[in-house]
Amino acid sequence: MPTETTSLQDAFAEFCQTYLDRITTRATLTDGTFQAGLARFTLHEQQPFVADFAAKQFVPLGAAGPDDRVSQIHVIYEALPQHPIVDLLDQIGFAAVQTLFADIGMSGFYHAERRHLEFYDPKRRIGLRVLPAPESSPVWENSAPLANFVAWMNAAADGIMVHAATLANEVAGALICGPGGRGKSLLTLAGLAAGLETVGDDYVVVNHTAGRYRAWSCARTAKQSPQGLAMLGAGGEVFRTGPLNWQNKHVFALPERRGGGAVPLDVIVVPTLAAGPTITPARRGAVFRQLTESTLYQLALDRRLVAEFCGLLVRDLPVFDFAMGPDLAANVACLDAFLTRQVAA
Amino acid sequence: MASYVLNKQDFILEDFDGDFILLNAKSGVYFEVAERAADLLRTILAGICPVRTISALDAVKPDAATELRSVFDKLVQASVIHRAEIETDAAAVEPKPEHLAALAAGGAYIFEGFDDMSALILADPVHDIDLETGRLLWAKHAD
Repeated sequence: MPTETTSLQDAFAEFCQTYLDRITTRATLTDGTFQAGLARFTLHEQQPFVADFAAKQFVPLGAAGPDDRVSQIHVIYEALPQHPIVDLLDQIGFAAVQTLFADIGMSGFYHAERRHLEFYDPKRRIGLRVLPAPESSPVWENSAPLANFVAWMNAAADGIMVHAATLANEVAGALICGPGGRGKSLLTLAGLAAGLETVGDDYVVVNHTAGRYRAWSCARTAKQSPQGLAMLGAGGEVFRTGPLNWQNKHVFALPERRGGGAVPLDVIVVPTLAAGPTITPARRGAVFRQLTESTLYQLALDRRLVAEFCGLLVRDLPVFDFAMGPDLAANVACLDAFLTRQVAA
Repeated sequence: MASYVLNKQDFILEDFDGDFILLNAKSGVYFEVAERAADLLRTILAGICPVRTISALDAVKPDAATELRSVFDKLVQASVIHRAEIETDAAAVEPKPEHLAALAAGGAYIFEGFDDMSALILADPVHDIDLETGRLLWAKHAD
């Protein structure tokens, strides 16, 4: 005899699958096929809105033929149906919604006031976002479009989207993590100005294959405040061309990585604004907490998945505190030399 | 006899260089368990009964036993561990001399709870952003 929990799960799964079936048979615009991290997806939108942002942020793949590895993401603008499941979603909190989706093998998010529902079925590789109108979209949509979908699709491809930046020289690469305001992005841009490479200054997708951790780009743009760019001096001028976003930061395209592909990760570095630059070994537990908490903050990802992956990452790679000084060029030179020494060691 | 087991349903346990970080995936509260407290938790994870262990330690090093009893109470109170549902052979849960030696070695008994990750996990990234300023509201509250 089915339990009450099973009945709820069954009803919820039926609601989601029926909704997906109904939407996927409807004619919507196809806005292109893109690569974001390890995930490829085709965007279908009822009327173009997210498409412009997606084209700037993700790598376009041109016309894709039928391919069951490519996810189909549908964005529609309509009122949510009157349904007991929607009533239930209205009554439970953010974390409970996540659990409800996880229990049926999906990832999902619901914002009751904005009537914003989105979810992804990794088995069918189909995602659906329902919003009353394009204007109801999240404020960060122009600089971080479809952020939850990117995280969910990559998780289905064994890549975890983490809140971290990267910098690499010719021999080694660093994952740069820590909460906002610690100078991750500024260090990354200063590194770019000095000839280092990156695949992201805010979020990157990390996976582990063939015995190595690698970071993949899931965003082709970066953002920085006018004050931050001023600190870069002449090197910051090239980034000042982008428009200001909702956080009053300039948004601009990151340069293509030479040869494309991923950045190999050899160390994890946690920057702080101090009287450096000096790099010293860090406590793994502290680095784990910082990487996990900042990653779990904005993404509706499975907590256990993120915590366990970050645990492996922090155990497998050497971890360091990077006390940075006021001279950005000196910070970059310090990190560059440190990366080279790490590999030599 | 019943021993104690980790509450795996709610907690994610990560071991870093012998110390533990436990994250309650439901509430977002996390705990740092280090030094002798980590030794006690390691003993529990090995299936050894903490009550018997502390009792045995009391006979040889009462100060350490008092500290570890306090750690044990906190582990239970925070629902990190609970009584095992399956009865085990009494001999299997008896502490071995090496367990007692590790716990009697002296040092700190670190069991600390933090809820800043809880604030991050429970913060709704959409609800908690001020649409005018783009600032995180929980951060504003913390100012």
